Amino acid sequence: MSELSSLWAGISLLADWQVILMMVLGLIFGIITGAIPGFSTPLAISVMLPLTFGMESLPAIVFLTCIYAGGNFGSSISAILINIPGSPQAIVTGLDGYPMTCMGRGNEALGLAVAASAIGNLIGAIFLILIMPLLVKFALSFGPPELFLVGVIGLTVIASLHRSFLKAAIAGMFGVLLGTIGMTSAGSTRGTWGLYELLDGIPLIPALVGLIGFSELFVMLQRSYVAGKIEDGVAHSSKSLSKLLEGFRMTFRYPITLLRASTIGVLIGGLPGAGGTVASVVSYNEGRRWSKNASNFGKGEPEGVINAEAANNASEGGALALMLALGIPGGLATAVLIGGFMLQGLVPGPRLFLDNAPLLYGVMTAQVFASFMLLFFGLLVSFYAAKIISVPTSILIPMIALFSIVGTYAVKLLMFDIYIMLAFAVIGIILRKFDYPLIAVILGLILGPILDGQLMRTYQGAGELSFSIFLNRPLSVLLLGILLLSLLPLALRLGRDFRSRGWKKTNG
Amino acid sequence: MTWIAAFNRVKYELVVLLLIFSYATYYYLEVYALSSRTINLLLIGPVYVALALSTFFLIVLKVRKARSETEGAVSSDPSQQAPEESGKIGDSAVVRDGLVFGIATILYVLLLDKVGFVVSSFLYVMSLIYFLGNRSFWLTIFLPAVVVGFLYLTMVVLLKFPLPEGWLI
Repeated sequence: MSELSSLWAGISLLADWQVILMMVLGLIFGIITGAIPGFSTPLAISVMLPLTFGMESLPAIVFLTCIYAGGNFGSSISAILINIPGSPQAIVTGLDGYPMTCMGRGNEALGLAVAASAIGNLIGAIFLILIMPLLVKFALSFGPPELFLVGVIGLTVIASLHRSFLKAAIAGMFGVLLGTIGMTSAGSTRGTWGLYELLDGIPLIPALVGLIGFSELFVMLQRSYVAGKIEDGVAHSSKSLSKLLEGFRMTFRYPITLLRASTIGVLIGGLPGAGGTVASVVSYNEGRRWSKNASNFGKGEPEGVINAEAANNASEGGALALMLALGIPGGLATAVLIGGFMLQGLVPGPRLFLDNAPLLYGVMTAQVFASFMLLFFGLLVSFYAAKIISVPTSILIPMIALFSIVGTYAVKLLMFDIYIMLAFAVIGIILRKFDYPLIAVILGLILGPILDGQLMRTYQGAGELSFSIFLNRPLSVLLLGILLLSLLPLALRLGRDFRSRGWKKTNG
Repeated sequence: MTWIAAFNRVKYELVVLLLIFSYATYYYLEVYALSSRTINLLLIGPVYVALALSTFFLIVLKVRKARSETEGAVSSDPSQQAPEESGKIGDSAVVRDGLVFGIATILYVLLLDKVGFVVSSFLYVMSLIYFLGNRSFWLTIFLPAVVVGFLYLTMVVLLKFPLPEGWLI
């Protein structure tokens, strides 16, 4: 009953014009920026993150989660129109979306993407509301050893982030070390270089904006247009509203596909680090396996677009559940969202649900409403998409730079944060240049303090640190099993690589 | 000679690796010197060792790969120049734009709390738009004025956020 009353309290919190306005603005901003290749959803959230500092908690968080929802759909626009996905999760959408555009059915593909995204998002949001209380009850039985193991499981994701395991590992461990800077619970000060501003650790938001956002601008400098100019014919055809609506209606002819893709999306989204890209790939493969038109996949099959879009949008519900219940970012976007929560003085994890249940239900219910809004604003933005994508970088870069700097300053009104942001921008540029996965550094930065704190508590609680501490707790044993399972693909991959290299070597 | 050529091919990559490793070593030694060493090294110790091992293996792999590529290039065509190594910065226009962007940003950040938000932001955006190749009045003057004005109104007037003030506004 208490959950029902919290749900009702959360819904009533949404009856505020500021919240509704923030939902609309977040969705539109997310869709527009998502449509710009390179302007990834995490970047869009990180640029707007500091601006939420002066807002109330609910409008601020709803704004950011709506950017997330909008960005997940928006990235499919450029994938469909010009075969350049706005974000990695839209790569699979382009497999059938772009061939549809080549066949003069680009607007239908956009309509399909809007409807599939909205339904995927809706199923993800419903899952989020239903599963959260159970997930939190489970999470509350976790002690420091279990929370440490959850952090380690989150860290194993790093292994799958890059084709070079060693580069991902180095980037992740570099992030972990950076994440442990500051004053510890034991009273020691580590790695602050005498700067009192670093006693609380490296400020996460300036680090995120610098590492992801500002470093991306240097990549953008190499292009005149983020996506290249769109041909007039495509731009013209994208204005065909009737075709857009035709695709929109067509989506509902595939209810089983929608349900299957959304379920896959939710489940995979709930795994740390897997995210929308993996969800859409798995869903697309499953869709092809079950489809009557399997041979048309990759040649402009509407079902292919639905499979990809429903899954990558539904993954948002799973990723949010993981982030809200356990405080683990499922991907880069949720990692930045954690920063948004922290900015409001809220720390994602089991306690958040107990202390702020109405607020969280408000955020989750807002996702349901956002799904319906996405239907309208998705169609609206798709209609004008071509113009947005062709904004020259010579205009875009100064604007993003200004917003990033001002936004970073606004977090604590400290110039020091801007210096940190610039320092991380330099690190980001160098790591990008040499092909290190930035998400590994971010995951390390976020998980570093969790791992360090929980390990210290485990040590302090037991008076020593031995493996038997973990083996004597049933939940820890379960988590160790999950940890081994999540390491298995990595071990197989490394073994396969080693065998193939050894074979090549012995065979000249 | 092939070893030297191999090191030369990946020298920038090795520099980055060694920079990361040097920072990690410095940090580890700093924590090691703390009085409560045991508890402070619970996580940092194993992470540092793992990072050191990963760095070592990556350096070995990079150099070995570069060596086999160098040998391959020499054996296939001795006159052929070694391909550009991965760390080389791009062409001159990109370097120029990058430098302009970097210097303008540093100047902006240094002047922000001395000159004031409105004037320094307007000059920053205007100069970037100009140097990145736009010459029209609307883009170089009008657009920055509108954006900075919008930010000022939103942040200072609406959200009551004090942005940096200096000699000017």
